[in-house]
Amino acid sequence: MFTPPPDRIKGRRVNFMATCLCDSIFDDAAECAVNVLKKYGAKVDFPPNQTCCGQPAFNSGDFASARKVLLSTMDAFSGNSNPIVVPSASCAAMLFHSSKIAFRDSDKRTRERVDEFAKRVWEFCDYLVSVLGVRKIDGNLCAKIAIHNSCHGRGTDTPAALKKLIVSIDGTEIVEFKNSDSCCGFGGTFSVVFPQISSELGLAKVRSVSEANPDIVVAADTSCLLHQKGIADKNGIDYPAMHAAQVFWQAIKNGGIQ
Amino acid sequence: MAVQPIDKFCETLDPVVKNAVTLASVGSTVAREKILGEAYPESGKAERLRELANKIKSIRPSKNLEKAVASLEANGIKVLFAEDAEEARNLILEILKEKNAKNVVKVKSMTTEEIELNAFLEKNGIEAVETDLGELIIQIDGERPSHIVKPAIHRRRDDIARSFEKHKIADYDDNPNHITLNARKYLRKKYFAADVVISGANYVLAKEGAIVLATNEGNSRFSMAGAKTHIAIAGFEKVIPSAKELAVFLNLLARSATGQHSTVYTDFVAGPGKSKNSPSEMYVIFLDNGRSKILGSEFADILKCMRCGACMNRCPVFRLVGGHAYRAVYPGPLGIVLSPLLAKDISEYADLPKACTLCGACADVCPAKIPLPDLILKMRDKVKSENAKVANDINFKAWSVIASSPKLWRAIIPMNKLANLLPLGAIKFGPLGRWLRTRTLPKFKGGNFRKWFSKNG
Repeated sequence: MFTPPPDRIKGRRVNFMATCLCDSIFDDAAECAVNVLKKYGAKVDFPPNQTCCGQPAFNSGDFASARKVLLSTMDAFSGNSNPIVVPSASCAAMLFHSSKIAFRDSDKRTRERVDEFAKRVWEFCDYLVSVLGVRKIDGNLCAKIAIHNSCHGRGTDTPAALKKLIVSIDGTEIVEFKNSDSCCGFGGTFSVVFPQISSELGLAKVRSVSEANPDIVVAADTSCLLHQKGIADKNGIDYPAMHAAQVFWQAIKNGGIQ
Repeated sequence: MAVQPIDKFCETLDPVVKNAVTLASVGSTVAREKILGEAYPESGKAERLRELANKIKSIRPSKNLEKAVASLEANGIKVLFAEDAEEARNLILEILKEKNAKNVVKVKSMTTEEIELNAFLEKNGIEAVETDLGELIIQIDGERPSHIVKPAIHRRRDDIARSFEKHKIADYDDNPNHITLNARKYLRKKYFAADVVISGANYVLAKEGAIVLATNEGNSRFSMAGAKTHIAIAGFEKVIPSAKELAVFLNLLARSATGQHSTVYTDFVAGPGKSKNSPSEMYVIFLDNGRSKILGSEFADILKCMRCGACMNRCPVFRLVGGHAYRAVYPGPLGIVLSPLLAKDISEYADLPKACTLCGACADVCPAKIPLPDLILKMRDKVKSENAKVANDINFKAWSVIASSPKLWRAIIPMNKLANLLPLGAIKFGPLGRWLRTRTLPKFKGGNFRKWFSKNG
């Protein structure tokens, strides 16, 4: 599955990787993630040369283009050897698992570099729990919350961390919905190459989530939510999607920032 | 604009069929989970069994195969080898001619689908009747299986009853029990008339020199009772060391496939029979058909597949479109890796590996723990590297230049805000047009986070 390396590098001084989606659309999710990281004791750097994890090209089978972008990304984070925190299970899996497939035929030095890089990468929720040891998000948030587990969290500690942190917030109530373990059909470039299948899967997901009538739909990825919300909007369904970082920061703000 | 064939198939698929496929595959997934939980309530035990299955299938087939041939021959079974589908078909035809056989009964076998045996036999004036109910249903209508375990997953009882009427098997009656009884009556005559039975093999036991058939309807035993000759055909990867290892597989196969603890019948055939009511001659044909090449490649793991269909039952795309969408004999997550490998020309199925959201659910349920998502990604790479054309593909050359140049990236990302001024509804083509057909887009806010971080970070 998308299991991270067992011996990942821990530490409180981190590099934040915004991801191309937060860089271009979801600036608010990235801001909240940085605020939450700082609140729980991380010192956050933002290496400015970062771009993207290369996943769009990689998932499309264009490994040469993906490698080119990955090499640039590894360069961008080469200023130190601190952990890299990514507010996306999908981009994190690309960097700690799939990158090894992209470079499988490369020379030994490059492969070692990719392996070393993989050890630094953490998904945001997983990092909060596993490294910063966050057990409870402070503040409060009175809301019924539906959790969408993004597929690339399979085989990682992200789903457990996300649930634990959401439950820990005073006032939250988790609502279950049907087929919660099914993919929403986003799949990155799949969503534009297979628009029909992607949309049908997306609409099924949006409908089953909506039936549970949540106040918030939360995920560790903005990408699944971008697709789901886009479909909901087109179908006139109210869909209160939020990234996990936004939910955490909202709760902290409600409690009054210390 | 070129459209992905599988996406087009989904768009035009009868909603009734879609629903039938979804219900059946979701149902099998639920049943699988329930029964594995029942059988192995201790946490991690089912997982360990799957790891064991993977390990056993990691043993190099050549080692087992040599032993299997010796044991099979010692049991009086004639062993043949077929390099490809054509050779396999010809070997079978030769045996049939030698026996002057005109009537064949078949026990469900995906390997015979792979070598397209039925059409070939028909062309050569031999009647080959499928004796598994699902296979019979699709055979009379000239269809291909839409699922490797449940071949008629896309059919409903009323249209099956109509087919039975049309092909003079029985009068119209859509009561499922009656459909089964009518098929049974029809097949009974075929068993008596059969000269030869052709089956696959779920497993070949190298030490014991026997084949194992897992079935639910008893049709394999009826088939053996009438026919004088038994031909079993199997890919060489079906060989396992001995009956001891078989226990691991039999504990996983039916549970993963249909959510049963075990299939209703598990036949062990260890050579020709001694009584009047059994074949007096038996052949085992080992099929290569590209498998040696796969074995030496980075796709070798796909040969660990035990054909349970759990991956397709769990696949969001398969659940929506069913097996026929894939055009190939093997559909679903298994098929999008295996079918391009088995094809004479990879470009025939170059689009298949793309029909996957990479959700990874298939790997969660595979009883042999095949890393399907990784194989699917490697297959995408292979297809691309071998320049096979795929409809609707996106070109990433220009993007990769921008995304690997931090300077260009920083200059371009803030410009995406200009797109907010465009009438997006007017964009009909390209990736953006395809996105907007069924979805809206939020406002672009390129570079805002970087500005915020430099002030607040």
